[in-house]
Amino acid sequence: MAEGKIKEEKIRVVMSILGLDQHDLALRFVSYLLRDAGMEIVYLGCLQTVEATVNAAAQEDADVIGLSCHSWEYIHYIPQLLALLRDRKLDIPVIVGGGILTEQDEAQLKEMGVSGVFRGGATAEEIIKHIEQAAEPKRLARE
Amino acid sequence: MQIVEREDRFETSSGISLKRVYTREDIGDMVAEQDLGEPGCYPFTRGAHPDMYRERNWIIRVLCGESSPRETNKRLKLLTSAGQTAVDVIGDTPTLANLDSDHPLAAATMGTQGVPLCCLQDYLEMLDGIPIGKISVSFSVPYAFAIAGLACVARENGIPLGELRGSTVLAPLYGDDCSYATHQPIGMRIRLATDTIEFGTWQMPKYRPFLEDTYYISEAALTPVEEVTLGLIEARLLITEAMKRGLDIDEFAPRIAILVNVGMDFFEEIAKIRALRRIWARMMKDEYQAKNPRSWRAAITVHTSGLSLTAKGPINNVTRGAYEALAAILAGCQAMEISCFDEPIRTPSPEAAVVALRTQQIIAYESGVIKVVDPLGGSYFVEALTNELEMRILEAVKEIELRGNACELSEKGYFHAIFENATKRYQEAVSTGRKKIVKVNTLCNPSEEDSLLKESVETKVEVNQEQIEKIKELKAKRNKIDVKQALNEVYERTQNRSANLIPVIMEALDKGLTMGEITGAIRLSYGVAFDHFEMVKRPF
Repeated sequence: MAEGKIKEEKIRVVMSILGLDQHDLALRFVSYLLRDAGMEIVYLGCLQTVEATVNAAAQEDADVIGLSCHSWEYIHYIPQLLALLRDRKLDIPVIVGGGILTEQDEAQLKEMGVSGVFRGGATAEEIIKHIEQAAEPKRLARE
Repeated sequence: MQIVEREDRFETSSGISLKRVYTREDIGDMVAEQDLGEPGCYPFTRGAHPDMYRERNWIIRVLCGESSPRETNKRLKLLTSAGQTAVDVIGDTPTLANLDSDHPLAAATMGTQGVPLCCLQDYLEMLDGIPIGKISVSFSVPYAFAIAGLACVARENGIPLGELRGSTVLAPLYGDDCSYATHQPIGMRIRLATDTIEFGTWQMPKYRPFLEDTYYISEAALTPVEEVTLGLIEARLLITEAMKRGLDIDEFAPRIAILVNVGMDFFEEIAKIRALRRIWARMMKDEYQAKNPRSWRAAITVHTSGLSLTAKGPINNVTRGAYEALAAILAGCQAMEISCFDEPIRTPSPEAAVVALRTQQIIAYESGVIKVVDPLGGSYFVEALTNELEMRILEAVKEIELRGNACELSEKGYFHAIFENATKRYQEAVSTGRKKIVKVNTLCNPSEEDSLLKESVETKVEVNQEQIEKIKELKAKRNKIDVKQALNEVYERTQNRSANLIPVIMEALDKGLTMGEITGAIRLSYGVAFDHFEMVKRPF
């Protein structure tokens, strides 16, 4: 039963860029991709704070938080975001994408607790598949 | 084996359908004397100067800015010693948003994507020992502050303002829609841009205070037709504003320059630049009634496309940059920067900056392409494409201007929608593989070259804490009452809407005020918060 219902309901993804970086092309690019794959996008865009992103994810009952980074500001903000999610007992997987991310960055982010990291050259299929899997526990719990 | 599908339709990135081969018939309507002319002569299709690179090379430079003004100064000197013939700097993310280095939001990013320039001391440190009276200094920094900062440095060093050369990028209309939001009311942005033009025209006759920038907007994946169309819309708006101030077109038009993007569509980019020169010449002569031939002649400067570069296999970006640079030279540009091979990941490492410089030098000194002026002139294909682009651009400009005033269109989100559509279109083209990019959607198998240059590409620049401390100390040292008085004066003088704000900003910088504070006082006069993010309280 639960499974049938899950399939009907769209996966909800909050899309955000933290800090001052305003290069939002990739965020828009991926948002279109996810929307075309049948997901619901809560598009916050750039110039977001950690608090605003977490608040939006809580209010919108998001299944996933998607962050895009084109600058190294993520090094500063992502630990804060993960900590705030923990403090507020919000079990929302965080995925991070960005051409600037290296293999080493990917390992560090995953170590911190980021669910998925997508570097330059990641395919649409990889991103969509990961989000579908990452969103599943929360969606099952909701039923 | 990896197989790449053959194209089944052939068209340019603007969607212009291409024939198998071009013949005389494709340029049948063209009248060479009227439409081409001689190089250096109206309508300048064939180039801005009669002898072009035989007489002198284009200005060879690399966009630069990192960590702190002092570190950037070292980089500028490194590049100058490697043969750079001018200086070109870009502000860091806080600077581009008119925020000081000690703004709370700057803490995570200050100096990592450009140079922080928020007070006079920053400008002095960055330009220390740079012969600004002899070589040109160009800025991708908030325009009113860039011109004021440079003028203050010149004054400190006893260099007459009339000797200064270089340019200041103006981006009042589209910045807020294209990754460079300042959150200033449009009226304030237009005024500061017009003030920059007016001040430069009166005080700095060798300087180019009006650099129309279509580069950054086209990085939203605009087509070349859209890029030039929107550039012309903004330039025409600013020309009208400058003329409203009482400036004669021939007083300021000779010092206008246009910064365009050059991406990977080789012939279309060449045709775009040639078409732009012809459109500009006719527009200046016929519509604005300019009499001085120098007003008709568009000075074109090029920044090669960052969007065309890939994070995967960064060494291949050297090749992309070289083709794009070659297109810019075959089109006859006056200055150029190549987006460096590490651009998808970081602001240029010293190695990448020098390679970008060398690429230009190899074209200049080894390739031989500079020996003949407009070597592609008369090519059936290039001329036909130039004509087609010209027609499409003129139609698009007319269509937009019929919709109404550009500032109002901006506020209604009309341009924002154009940028959104462009991104969506690009995403579809890349996702479906219609637009092929090696290592992104074509020939993607991992290979040896993927890790070449990895070290310089992946080295991170850290936030320079000393710079933040420097600004905090500088602010703390000042007399609070004097600061209040000075800011109040900026506010009062801004209230007079016919005053030029550049001398006001220069005086304020001289008194030790910062960009964030001066901008805040101007913002208050325009009825918006001192700090857009409301994290810094107004100090007066």
